[in-house]
Amino acid sequence: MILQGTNLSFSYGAMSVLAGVNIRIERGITAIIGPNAAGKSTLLKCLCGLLRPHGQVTLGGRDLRGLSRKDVARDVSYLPQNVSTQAVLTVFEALLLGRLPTLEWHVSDADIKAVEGVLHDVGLTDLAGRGINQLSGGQLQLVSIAQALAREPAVLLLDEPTSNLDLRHQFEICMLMTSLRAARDLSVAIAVHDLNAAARFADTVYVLHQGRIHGFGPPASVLTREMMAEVYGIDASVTHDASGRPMITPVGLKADS
Amino acid sequence: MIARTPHVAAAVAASGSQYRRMGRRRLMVLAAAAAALLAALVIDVMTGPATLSVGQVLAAVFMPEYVEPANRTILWTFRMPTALMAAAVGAALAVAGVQMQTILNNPLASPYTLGVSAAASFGAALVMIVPVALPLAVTVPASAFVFAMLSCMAIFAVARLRGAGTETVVLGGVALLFLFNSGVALMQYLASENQLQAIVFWIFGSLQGATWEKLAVVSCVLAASMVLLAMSSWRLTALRLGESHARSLGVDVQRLRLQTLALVSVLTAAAVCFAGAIGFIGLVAPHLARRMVGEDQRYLLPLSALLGAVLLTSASAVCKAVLPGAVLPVGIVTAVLGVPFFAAMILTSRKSYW
Repeated sequence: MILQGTNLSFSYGAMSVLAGVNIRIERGITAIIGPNAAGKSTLLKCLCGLLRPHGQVTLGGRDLRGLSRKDVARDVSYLPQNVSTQAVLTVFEALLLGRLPTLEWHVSDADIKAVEGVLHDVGLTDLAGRGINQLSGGQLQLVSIAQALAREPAVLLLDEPTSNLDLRHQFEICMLMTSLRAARDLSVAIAVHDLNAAARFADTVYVLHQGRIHGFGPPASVLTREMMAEVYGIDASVTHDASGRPMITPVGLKADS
Repeated sequence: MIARTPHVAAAVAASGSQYRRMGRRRLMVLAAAAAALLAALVIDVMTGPATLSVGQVLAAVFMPEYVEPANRTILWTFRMPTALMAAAVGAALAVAGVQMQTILNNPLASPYTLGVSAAASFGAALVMIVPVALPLAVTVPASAFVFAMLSCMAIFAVARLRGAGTETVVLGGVALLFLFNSGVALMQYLASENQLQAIVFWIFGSLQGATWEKLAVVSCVLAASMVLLAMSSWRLTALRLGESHARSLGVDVQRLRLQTLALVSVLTAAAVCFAGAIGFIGLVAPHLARRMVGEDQRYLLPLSALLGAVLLTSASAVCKAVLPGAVLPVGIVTAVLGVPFFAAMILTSRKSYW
């Protein structure tokens, strides 16, 4: 399913955050990169209908404004940056809540099976009965991702999903996304700070800078020395591995920034 | 989905059956609480100036024609409506408390701490000292109800303000608590000695004026609210994951908050206008229930109601038994017994419950 934003603009009061953004999330992994306050989170919230921007957002060709929140939630799973840990819920229950748009009073076997499947795919089966208020930050992050997946969405929007994770878990999440994309025909958009992860796992990279799209395309064409200088104000060396994926190593701050 | 070997599939299915088992265990907890409520009701009905036996109580309930008229009158006119009123009011306060805590995302929220009970007290005190043509039996609950609703509407209005977070709403409620408490103090200052006594008695909460009619009102409001709240069970549970999370799950958070607050307002007003400002039940019962069955509203809502009912019915029995021949105000008993119990619950809890 394709999620498309056309000419999106959004401001919080007088502060303009997005200005004329065009973006197309299609099957595969789309990474949205950019410095802090570039508007990445706002863009994701606009795309899933949590914020109402100027411009148009379409989901599978239908205008988002014509769809109910529940309809959107059924197809689009959005994972916010921060997750509350206060609730007295087990991991299993938290995942079940991910299926909220379809939950009935009596939890169906289909719901149970779906949760079991996701728990296994994400490697959380052992923690199923644990309270989410007893988890480490990284485990909680995994649970949130699993919860977003439990809905079996067509489009998955993740806001910095790997920010609390150690290297191994970061890698696992990225591998998981890659395998899910293949198995579930999923369109994934990830707002991410780790440029090398974006280079390695994304099919398309969008660079957001001061509320505008600075550039987009395959990683190799977007993640360049020039972009690093213009957007991040950093001198970087960019090398390419055997498959042509770029590798970015920051060298120093750009002299005039 | 990724293919699995049978061995892995079995391990995976364990988490689902574990969840089903947990559901059955929670139903057992609900059943146990219901049994405890029945026991508390019987004990409350037995207790009083003339102590009755379990047999006499059961006989009066199920075969009233075989019971001597004096006992029948004691039971059917006084003790049973009082005991059932204790259960209904306790349940109403607990349900109001658990939903205030849920929608305001604050462990301290309850009808008492948000000033609704104080507003009702002010309403009651006002008509006790300002002469009105109607009998006090009518004006006191009516005025208490009106003021309780007014305070809820003020909280409601704050909640509707653009950009008002849950903290703002809680602070608004606390401000109301102080406002109405000073209003009550003013009424007490202006009151005659008899009026002062009536006001003080009302503020501490009392179930002694219960009748079948009042009971019917509270029960109907309670039943209707519980049905309506139960219809939002999953959404209310999801709200505990945080507002943005709930919104991303498709919940219209603002609407759910306002709907729930409206329901809780009527429920609280109905409970406090007849029973006075009974504190603590609305705070302690939800925490106890959450500890026993977790956040899932399909269990949390009925268990809070049952525990609230058990607590207030037991307190009602205690306040009749402490001083022979006298009935302590039930609000004093709930606070005296509730505070140490609550402190113990917080201090002994290893996991964080909020």
